[in-house]
Amino acid sequence: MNAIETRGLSKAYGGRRVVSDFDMTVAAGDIYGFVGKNGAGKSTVMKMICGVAAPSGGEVVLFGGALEGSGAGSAPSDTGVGGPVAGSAAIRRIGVLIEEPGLLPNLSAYRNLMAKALAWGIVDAPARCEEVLRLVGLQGVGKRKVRGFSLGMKQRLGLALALLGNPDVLLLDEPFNGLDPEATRAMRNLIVRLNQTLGITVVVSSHVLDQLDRMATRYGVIADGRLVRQMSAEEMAAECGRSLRVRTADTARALALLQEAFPTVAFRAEPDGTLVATGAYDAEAVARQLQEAGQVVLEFSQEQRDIEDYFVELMEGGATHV
Amino acid sequence: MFNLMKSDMYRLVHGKMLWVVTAIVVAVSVLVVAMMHVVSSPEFLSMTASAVDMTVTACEDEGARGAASGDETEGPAAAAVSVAAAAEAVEDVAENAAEAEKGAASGSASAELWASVAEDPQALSEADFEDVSREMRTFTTPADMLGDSVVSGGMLTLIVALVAALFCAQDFTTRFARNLVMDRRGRMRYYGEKIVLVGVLAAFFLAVVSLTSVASFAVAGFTYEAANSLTDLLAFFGLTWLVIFAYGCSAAVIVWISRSAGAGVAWAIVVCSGFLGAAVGQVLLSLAVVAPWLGALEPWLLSSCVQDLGAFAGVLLGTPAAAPLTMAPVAVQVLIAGVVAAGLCGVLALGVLRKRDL
Repeated sequence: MNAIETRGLSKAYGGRRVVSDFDMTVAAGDIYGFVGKNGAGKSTVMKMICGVAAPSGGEVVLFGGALEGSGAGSAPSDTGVGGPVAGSAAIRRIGVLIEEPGLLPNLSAYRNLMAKALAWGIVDAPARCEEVLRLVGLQGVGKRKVRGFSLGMKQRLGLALALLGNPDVLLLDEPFNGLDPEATRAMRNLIVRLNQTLGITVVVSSHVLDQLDRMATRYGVIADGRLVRQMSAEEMAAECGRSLRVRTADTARALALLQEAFPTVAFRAEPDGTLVATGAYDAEAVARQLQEAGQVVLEFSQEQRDIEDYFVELMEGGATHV
Repeated sequence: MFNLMKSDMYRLVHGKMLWVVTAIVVAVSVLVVAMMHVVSSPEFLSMTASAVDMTVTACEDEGARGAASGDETEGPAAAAVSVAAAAEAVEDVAENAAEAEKGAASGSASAELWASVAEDPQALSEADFEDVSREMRTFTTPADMLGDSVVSGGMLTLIVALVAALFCAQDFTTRFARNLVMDRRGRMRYYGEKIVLVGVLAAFFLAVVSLTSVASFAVAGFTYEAANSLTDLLAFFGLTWLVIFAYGCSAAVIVWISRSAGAGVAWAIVVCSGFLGAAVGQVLLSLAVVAPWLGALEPWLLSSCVQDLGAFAGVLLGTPAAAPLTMAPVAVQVLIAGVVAAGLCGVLALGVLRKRDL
């Protein structure tokens, strides 16, 4: 079952479209790495999913039910845990940490949690607050006011707030921002633990790609408000791990030839006429095919790419993906 | 909405702002009573009368000396200044006396005192000052006492608007609001609850100030000529609450529109204190010469309602309202103005602002 689905989602501010025709699918149990440049629309998409921002078009489907005010889709009634739900009931199954943790600086960590727990009508609020404080490792902060917390502590408290309502999905926007390496690792381990032990689906946007690489099971790439690509971690590893560069005397003909011969391999033409093959290609088979077709090969080499180059390429969207 | 209210109460009770502001409000209320106690004491009245008498005498002597030495270089100028000063002092006392004469007809001891100061200050005895002091320390009714000391200054409207603005702004400046369920239906509940909270704050501070003032006046020896009827008291407290609530809602709406604590605080200081309303009222009254309908708008301003609540606190149901409602009591006028102002804020928040993204 999909935890989150967006269909043709769009958002415009003052006539300027920041998200267009955005179709995203997050399956239950995923750790979904949401990748995009600054201003690409990641936070806006997350805000629309959790109801903080109303979509200009399209709809958000949470746990099989359309979110109220997010399009003309049907809104099934609540059928219990795990079933399709709509509106506020569905939103309450999402824990959110978007942009800033949203903390009250003049209250302690416990009282911040209590303020939200009371607003949500959580049963046995004091016990639940203690529990999530322990879960994020902040049980020892006592009565210290939040304004004196380090950035890492604030992020962890933000995560605790997101976890307070026992969510099935966590939306985390740049949770590693400003964290030192140790705090980053602690945060990553916590996210993985929440996913593996509590079965929480996590959508996490981050610029720290190597952290995503270590935990994401699925990726979505956004560029200029559009979903450029969605793929599993395995697909990403296959595409990103190595690539084949081929330069021939007749680029257009070679591209057509290879596309026809290897339909499952992604080929793209670079501006200088080089063809780049990514994914599960067989270099020998490609070479043979070119030779049999009488193509003059000027360059034939394999390259290893890191995840950063791969995503930058996808985000820039300049090259033609086939 | 009830859960949101519980959460807000928790934040207010465990935060500092409510207690700091309450302490300030209590201190100011006690200070006002203390000042009124000092100003109405026989000693202070005696001292004031002596000071006036001495000023008048000194100025008259100076003027006479200046006139006598008219041939000296600075003589004529000094004489002129002294005579002018003496004339001014006498004029002040005479002015008080003139006002006093009006009051004297109704047997006011204070009026008689000022009339005597103007005529023959030496004839005043300690008993006269004690009579005046006793009179000054006797309010017509408890509602008049609260109207005089608490409502007409605009302190309550300012305080409630400030607290409402700062508290509402905190949700947006800290982004705590995003931790709440904030789809459109959730936002409706959110804004609705905040409006109710402003009402609770208005009731809380009205109660704090009223109780503090009543207790302080009692301790300071102030009394009343008569008790208010229950209807009059209900009208006074109900309408005062309504006007404070309307001002508080306006500050909250400004914060929700601007998402800025600064804008809310500025609005509270300039508008909710009654400062802007008083200025606008003056402008409207001035323009009434050319367009009478503009003058007719003045009584409908919230700031004018605050002044009416202060001036007619004990007789809100017995004082006729301004045109065109002259057949109805001033209470109806305040009720209409308050409900319209609060209603506008409610419509803006629940009808328009709830559609805005966070």
